[in-house]
Amino acid sequence: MTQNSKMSIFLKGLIKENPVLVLMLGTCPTIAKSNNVFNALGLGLCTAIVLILSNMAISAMRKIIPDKVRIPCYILLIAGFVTLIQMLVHAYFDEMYERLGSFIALIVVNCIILGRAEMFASKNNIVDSMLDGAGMGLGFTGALLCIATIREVLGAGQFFGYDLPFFSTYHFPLLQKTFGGFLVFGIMIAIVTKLTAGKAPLKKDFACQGCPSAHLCHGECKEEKEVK
Amino acid sequence: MRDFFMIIFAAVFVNNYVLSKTLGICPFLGVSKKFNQAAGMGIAVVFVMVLATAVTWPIQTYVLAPLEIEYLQTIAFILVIAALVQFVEIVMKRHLPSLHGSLGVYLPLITTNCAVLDSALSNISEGYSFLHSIGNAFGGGVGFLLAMVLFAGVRSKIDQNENIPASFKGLPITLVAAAIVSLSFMAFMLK
Amino acid sequence: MNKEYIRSVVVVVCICLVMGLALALCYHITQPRIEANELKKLNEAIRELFPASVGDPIEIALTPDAPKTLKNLYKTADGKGYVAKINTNSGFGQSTFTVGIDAATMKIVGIKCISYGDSVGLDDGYLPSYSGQDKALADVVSSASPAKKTKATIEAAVRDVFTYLENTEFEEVAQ
Repeated sequence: MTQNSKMSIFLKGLIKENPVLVLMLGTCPTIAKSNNVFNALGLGLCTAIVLILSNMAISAMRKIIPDKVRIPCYILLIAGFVTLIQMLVHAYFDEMYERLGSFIALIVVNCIILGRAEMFASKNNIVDSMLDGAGMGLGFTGALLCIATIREVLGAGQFFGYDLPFFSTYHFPLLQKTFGGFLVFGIMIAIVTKLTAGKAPLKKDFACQGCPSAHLCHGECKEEKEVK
Repeated sequence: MRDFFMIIFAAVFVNNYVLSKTLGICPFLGVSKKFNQAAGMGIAVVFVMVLATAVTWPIQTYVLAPLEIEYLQTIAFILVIAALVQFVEIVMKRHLPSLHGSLGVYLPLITTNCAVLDSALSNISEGYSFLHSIGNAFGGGVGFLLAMVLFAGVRSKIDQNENIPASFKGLPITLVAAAIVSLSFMAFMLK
Repeated sequence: MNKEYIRSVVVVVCICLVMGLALALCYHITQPRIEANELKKLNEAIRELFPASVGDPIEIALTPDAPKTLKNLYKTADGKGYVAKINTNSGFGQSTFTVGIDAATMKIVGIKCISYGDSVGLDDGYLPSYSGQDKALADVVSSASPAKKTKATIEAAVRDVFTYLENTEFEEVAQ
């Protein structure tokens, strides 16, 4: 493989196939923990590290793992890496651990990780899988940071916990709540749709392609799958 | 007994999984197009949540805690939930085919539903007794069902609307609608 | 068919073992640090309640009849005060407080909230009004904003600490 295609594997996760804004994966943590930049950065980086590790491990073992038990195997590996990261964050970044709470453990069920394992790591070599993990992880972090910046600046009048001159007097606290999570996320997707109109393989609707369990759901999502 | 109902009420309204904790968003957005599907998914979640707690709570209390291997909690819980869902599906297919016809398709989707894992984990971290854990899981599931059913009604109106800007069609307008529906639960949010 | 079945089981078991070992290793590396962090936080909370006390607090072993809400009990290094760590759950959410009690007068020195997941409005005069109260908690602001159930839960937990302190003989654990 050429240098160029390696670069494109890494870059596609950042923009063209951004896991949050284009593939619509990992919506739960995106909405819940994008209320400020600190949380977004912490959760984004934790997820990225888990994604890189799990992609590499799954890719390394893709020939050993029997097809029938691959999902339990993936879940085992992912849960293991998540627990590792959870312990390390608890020991060395105590404040972040308290702020993120149970969301570190919930990285296990973040569809991005199982989704990339199923869609990419199980079919590609270790280096490509690592690059894919890094690209997707940073794409997730980037999208989370964009949403978090809007919500923190307009919702709390702060950036990274520091008061901003104009916004600290005029802000809209509702954006810090669940309401803001849904609203800003919705508007971001609308903007991405507008900008990439016709160019990106954007899914207009919330389909099952991204869902790692799609193959299990007995034709409920079959139509969408076949289209893909 | 009063505590038990208090926990259920709080889990349904105050700590509603979808609209307050924002967990389980994938099925909330994906399977809420039709009322029947939304209700089916919701009932399946109630079922799995209660069952998952009924299994994970004893595992934590009688296996992980005495052996001091609490750090295996996440792995143990997610595996138990995955195995449980598969098992329930097989049993249901064989013995209750009619129920499987209506709920079966949703069961595998629940394995990776973060609300189910969170309910199992939070019952432990909140220090609930077994009965209270079951109450909390049941309430969480019912809260999810309520949100699904409410939102299915809202969505049927949106899908009929022709005046939505092109770039907002589909998921974006659904998310904006979800934002407005979440406002209705703000009254219960005490923190 | 049978061979494939055995292979699947072997692979799953192997992954389980490897992951389990890796986690056990990581646990033994990180656990001392996590515990040190917890102790540091506790010491800071205690220093705020009893600024005069120097050195690490002495933990008191709880007897089986201790109230369920009481998680840990400490005596300050100079022996002048007790610090109780209580954990309340009113149904809305779980909260943790440290309560400082003067050993001589049996009055509350102060109450600090460590983590709070309950109804809103805790700091609007409610927690500060605990300072200087004795077991009766007669002058705690009852009109303060947290939900009724929340306040009742916290008050019951604090009263239980007093009852326990009065009726129990303690053994101090050497640290």
